[in-house]
Amino acid sequence: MSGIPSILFVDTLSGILRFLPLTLTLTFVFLGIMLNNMPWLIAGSGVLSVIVGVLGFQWLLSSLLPTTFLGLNLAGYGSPAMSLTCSLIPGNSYAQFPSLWFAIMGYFFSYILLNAGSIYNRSPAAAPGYSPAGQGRNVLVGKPVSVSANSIGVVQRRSVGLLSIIAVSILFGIIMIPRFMNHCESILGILAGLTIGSLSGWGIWTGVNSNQNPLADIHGVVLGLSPGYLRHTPIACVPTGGTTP
Amino acid sequence: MGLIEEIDRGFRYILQVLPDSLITGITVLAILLGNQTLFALAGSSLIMQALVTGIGYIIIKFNPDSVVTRIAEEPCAAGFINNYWARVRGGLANVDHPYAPSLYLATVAFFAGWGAGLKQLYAEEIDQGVISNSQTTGFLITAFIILAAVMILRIFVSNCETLVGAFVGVATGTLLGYVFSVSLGFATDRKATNIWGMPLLRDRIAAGSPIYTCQKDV
Repeated sequence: MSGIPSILFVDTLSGILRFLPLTLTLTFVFLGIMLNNMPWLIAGSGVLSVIVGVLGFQWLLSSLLPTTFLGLNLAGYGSPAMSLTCSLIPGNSYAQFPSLWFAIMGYFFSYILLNAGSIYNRSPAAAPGYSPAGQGRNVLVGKPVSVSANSIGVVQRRSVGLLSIIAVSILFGIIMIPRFMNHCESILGILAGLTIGSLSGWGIWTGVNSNQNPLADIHGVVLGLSPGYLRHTPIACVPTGGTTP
Repeated sequence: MGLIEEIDRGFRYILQVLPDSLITGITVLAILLGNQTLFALAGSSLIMQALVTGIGYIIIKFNPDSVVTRIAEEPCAAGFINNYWARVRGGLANVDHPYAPSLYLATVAFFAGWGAGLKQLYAEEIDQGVISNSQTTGFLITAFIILAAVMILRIFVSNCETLVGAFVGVATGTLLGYVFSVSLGFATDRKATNIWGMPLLRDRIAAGSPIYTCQKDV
């Protein structure tokens, strides 16, 4: 392939592929602030802690261990050429163990997958009955309203969850394989990076999602499932069948 | 290599590729999250970039001195996609950029303007406490502080923008972001811009629907 197709399909796609972890991090943090989206900002802040942790671990290994340890190339930074072609920031020091690229992608993979699974499996929303305290027998207490599992809203939500699970699995598979094949990574570095990243994603998502908190919802679905978030003046239904505001 | 030097290089690089990173990131996230509001945002930002570039070239037509020729790889080129497009258009040393409006700052400002539009579109729901009003105001102020910081860095630290180009870029980007967000919201009954997925208040009286449904007498 040469000329314009080469530039478009090889250069552009390889550029996007190489910087994708950085791109996703920037998007979550920056758009989280610009569009006032707290779940994205939390997910972005989580990955920043993963980046600092992995870079710190790489530095610690290079300081404490010899370059070759137990016959494995675990510690030390790559050549300047490797820094230019493999590092997320061109020219910055690049270490293969643990892989920063795979740690960040593993983090996003587990975070998005967990949230997609959560919105897919969430039980249909139920609006509680209105039960005003101290109003006596004149007030009819409304029954809780349950949404049918086949309603359009539930099907749409489950579709978003399923679509996201499929998209994440396919896209991350497609993206990770070329990175693995371009000689920037080692097998041990990939395994360590994926483990650190996916465990961090799981830990942070689980922590934020305690009590099904909408702050973990990067898909933007959970708020819409809970009409109770709209605090409006309640209305009482009287036994005669009329309504009184 | 010193830690400070690496952090400095990282910061400068992130700043350089910010516009391209955001548009690529939004598109990838729209696919990964199955989120139609992100598709709308990605599409709108691409239309905005085309409009701002068009305005720039109209200015060049009337004032040819306002052209800056840059080598695409230098720190002022706005990201990795633009670099490759520059090669498509005839080589690294053949990138003409108008002084005004700044495409870089227009792109960053576009998202701040979009956020301001969202705050107005969903004002009633925010007032009802779906998300905190003080939080949305705080985020909006932070967004414009970040925009101002980026503008100062681009003008005075990396020397990539002129004062006029930067201000016109920020004004154009903010205005387009706000107008696109509000118009798209009204055109789609606020569905295509509901980035938080919040429950929407409906004017049931205007729609002729009963305001409250009560349980029937048994």
